[in-house]
Formats: sequence, C-alpha cells, structure tokens
Amino acid sequence: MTALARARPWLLWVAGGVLVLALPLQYSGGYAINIMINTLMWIVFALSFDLSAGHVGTVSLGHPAFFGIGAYLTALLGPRLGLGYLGNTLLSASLMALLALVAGVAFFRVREVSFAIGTLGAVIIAQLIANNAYDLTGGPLCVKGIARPEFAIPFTDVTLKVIHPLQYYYLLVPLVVFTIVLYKAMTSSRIGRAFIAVREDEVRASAVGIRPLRYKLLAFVVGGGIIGALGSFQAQYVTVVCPSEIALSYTLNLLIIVFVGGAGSLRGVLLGSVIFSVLPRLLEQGGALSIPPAYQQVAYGLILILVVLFMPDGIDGQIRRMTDKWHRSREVEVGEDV
Amino acid sequence: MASEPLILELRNVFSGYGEIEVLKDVSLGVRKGQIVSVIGANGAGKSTLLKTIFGIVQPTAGQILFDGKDITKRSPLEALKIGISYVPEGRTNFPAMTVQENLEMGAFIRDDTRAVAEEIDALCRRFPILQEKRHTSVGNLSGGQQQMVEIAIALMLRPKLMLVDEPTLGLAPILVKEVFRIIQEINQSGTTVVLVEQNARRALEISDYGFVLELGAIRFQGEPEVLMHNTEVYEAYLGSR
Repeated sequence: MTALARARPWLLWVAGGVLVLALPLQYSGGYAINIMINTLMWIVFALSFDLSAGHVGTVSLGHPAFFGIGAYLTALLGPRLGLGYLGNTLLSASLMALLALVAGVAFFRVREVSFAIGTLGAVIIAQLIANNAYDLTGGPLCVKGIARPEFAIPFTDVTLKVIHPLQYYYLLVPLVVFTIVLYKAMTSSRIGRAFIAVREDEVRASAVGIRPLRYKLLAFVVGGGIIGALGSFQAQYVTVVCPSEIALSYTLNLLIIVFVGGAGSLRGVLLGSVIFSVLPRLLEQGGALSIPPAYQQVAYGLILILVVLFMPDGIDGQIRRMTDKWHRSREVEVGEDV
Repeated sequence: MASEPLILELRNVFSGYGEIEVLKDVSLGVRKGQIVSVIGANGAGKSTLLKTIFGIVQPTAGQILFDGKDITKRSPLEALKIGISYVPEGRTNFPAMTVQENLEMGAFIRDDTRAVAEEIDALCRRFPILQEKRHTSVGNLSGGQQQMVEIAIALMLRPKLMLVDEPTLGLAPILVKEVFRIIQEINQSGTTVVLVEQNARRALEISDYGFVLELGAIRFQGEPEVLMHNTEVYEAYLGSR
C-alpha cells in the first residue's frame, strides 16, 4: 500500500472537515445555512439511531421521543434552573440517557417487531402528553421565548449572544464531531463487534460470552443521550418547542436516511443524511429542481422507489460494490503486468 | 474408561422457562474424555438440558457440578471461563462476518489478541476448510462449512467440555458423517463432548455413553450397545431407518 493510499482516509476527513467549516461562509442567506444546520442535525440524529438500528439490530420507532422531550426539558427547566447552553445540553443529554435506560429495560423484554411497535406506542403517548398537559407544556400553543445561548468571553466583559444562523451552525459543529467520533470509536472497537454479533445472532452471541441486553442498552442509552442533547439545541435554536417535535415523521425520515443510506455504515448514514436533507429542498419551488408543490412528494417518493430498486443494499452498499469491482479489475491488470 | 472421574454431574435438576417446567428431576454424570449423547424426541428437553448446563437457563432446583465444583448458579460467561463451551442449535454463526472474524468472536472474552491469533492459526491448520475460506463471509458458505465454523467458534477457548446441540440438523448425509468425524477428532484431542442429536443411531455409534430423555426426565441410560439392544429404546428412537 502506498503512503498516499494509507493517508487517503485521513485526507478525506480533513477535506470533509474543511468543507463543513467553510461551506456556510459561502452563503449569506439564512435559508441555505438553515438547510445546512438541518443536515448536521440529521447527521447527529441518524448516527445515534443507527447505533441501535444498524449495529445492534434493534429498530426503535421511538427515537423522536428523546429529541422532543430533550427539547421540552430545555424549554421548561432551562429558565428555572438558569442553565446556560452547555448546562441545558448536558441536562437533556443525561436525562434522556436515563430515560433510554429505563425504557430500554422495559422494551428490550420483547423483540424485533414487538419492540418496534412498543417504542412507537411510547412516542404516541409522549406526543399526547405534550399536546394535552396544558399547565406544563402549553399544549398546542407551544413553549415560546426560550432563551438564546449566551457565552461570556473570558477576561472581558463581553457576552456573545448567539442569534444568527451562522453562529448556530458553528455552535452545532462540536456536537456533530462528538457524535461522529463516539460513533466511530464505539463501532470500530470490541464493543462494535459485540453489537454486530448481537445483531447477527443473539443466541450465538450469548454462547461466546456476550450479554445481548447489555449491548442493546448501551447503544440505546448513548443514542438517547445524544439525541437529547440535539433536542436541547433545537429548543435554543428555534426558541419554540411544540408537541410536533415529538413527531413520528422524524422516525420515517430516520428510517429513510439509515436504511437507504446504509445501515451500520458511517459513510452510508452520512451520505443518507446529506442527500435526504438536501434533496427535498432542491425539489421545492426555487430549489434547483423546482417542482410544483403538488408533485414534490410524488417526486420524492419516486426517487426513493428508484433508489431502493436499483440499490438494494443502500447507497453505501452500491458504493462498496463499485469500489470492490474497481479494485478487482485493478488487481487483474497488475496481475497481467507480472 | 468407566474409571475416569466425572467432569460434569447433574443432581436432581429442575429447569424451565418461567411457569413451564421442562427438566424434571434430571440426574446424570458425564465422565472425562467421553462423548456422551443425549437422544430423545422433539420437546423432550434436550436443548433445555444443554442451556441449563451452560447457564443460559438457570435451574430452579438441584445442583450442577463441574470438575467436582458446584456451578449451579453461573452465567454463560462464567461457564466459558471455567472451560465449558456451547454450540447452539441450527445455523448459529455471524453470517456478515468472515470466518476469521467468527473465530475471533469465539474468543471474545479474551483480551490477548496475539494468543487469539495463534489459536485461529492452529484451528486453520487443523481444519483446512477454515484456512481456505478464512476471509469469506460465513453467510456465503455451504451448510456443512457453516457448521464447521460453528464448531470451531466453540473451540477457540480450548474448552474442557463442549456442549453441541443438533450439529447435523439439515445437513446432507455425507456432511453428517463429516461432522461426526470432526466431533470424534475433537474428543480425541481431549475435549469431553455432550452431544444432543435427533440422529440417534449415528450419535450413539460415536458415543461412549448415552442418555434417553423423555418428557424432561432421563428414561434410559447406558453404553451404546446396551441402549441399542433395549427394545423400548430401539423401537422409539432407532427402529426406523
């Protein structure tokens, strides 16, 4: 292997990092940056979901609950406790990790479809509560006026108030980096192999000394915690939290991103997040493809059908197959030279 | 052979799942170095017996001894650590992983990666098919090759006692023979084997001792020749070919 080939993954990460940091500077409008923030949020959301769904094989339909409740925690407790951005984020993260632990112990008693349906029920209940507990959540009137993050700059009297989308974008980047690093560290270690073993064959996993419940819980708790932090960001970004944040439509989007992108693959989930955050915007009026509103959903649906038809193992699987083919053809060439 | 000490002993073991009691007062002994078959009809409790010994199912009453020590309450992890391994029934491997990775999983509880790598090399020398398919996903192997990998996973920790559940299920006759040959070979290199089989005749042929399980209790036991000549056992489990 040449030095360049060995350095390639690193170069890709550096290039990606530069792109993520520099891209928003090319746009002055809030609209484009809003799409980029959205994309980053889906990356965090989908990677957290994929830890369970793609690696351990436990597909929960309930992940939006961590997001919505995490947002509500910041909206409701933030002002009372007087916490800053970091405090709010950590509070939502730890409480949602705790909720994931409790819910996990309960829901992992059942498997596969029953598990999925059970978690679906939990989201519906959470949304009903958010909608109807007027005294607490304001119901459909939402919780409004959530404070924007403020940072005191050390050694000065200056406080930086985060207002512009661009500032929010850079505020979100650390969470994205943290999520990617944690995802990568977990999935490419011993823990990751245990995840896959549980997904592939739970009985055999127990037979080699892996405790399936422990790893299911680990992925669920880490994912729940990160999504809780993301919910907190959302609350402080839009400054309004409504029951619609605990939305089943998020589940649908997660399923599309992860399973069409490539379940269990960092590259697949990253690509899925970018494609399925940006694509719907391109289809909008004024977007690059500018399709009339009535047909947007139809076009989106058609694209999904085509992708699934022609890339049965997802976008990542398709890329892997193509690169494998390329490597094989190169090996043949090299072989002929010798 | 009969003078060898007992490596495994069950004393009046009761076991099952929640309300359902499967094993009812099972007592049995397995001598070191032997192949012992447990035969019986579907639902007799054969698999539950192995799961109870391995610790996936905990006994509700009775005692289990391994090498003379009480191991009644133990997790699968502890069972692996003291030298018991278990090959579950059916196609139980990690299909998306390669043969190499499957074998690595067999030593999951060990941290010493060098020793694990050496163990894999040794297994690949012993069973050439593993070497040949070493970097192929197990899901792409034939049923017989997969069974080979499944047994090899359980050998990674060099167990003293290997529990094998229905290793020939769904295999072509020629492969059945091969699997039994491999089990014999493993036994000859020092591992005691408890084998659960539907294929009673074949299993008894390679065994030193046999138990017949009926409705969760030991109905008959003895050397294979004795069992084969027992009219009831013969008619119920060995009669038809």
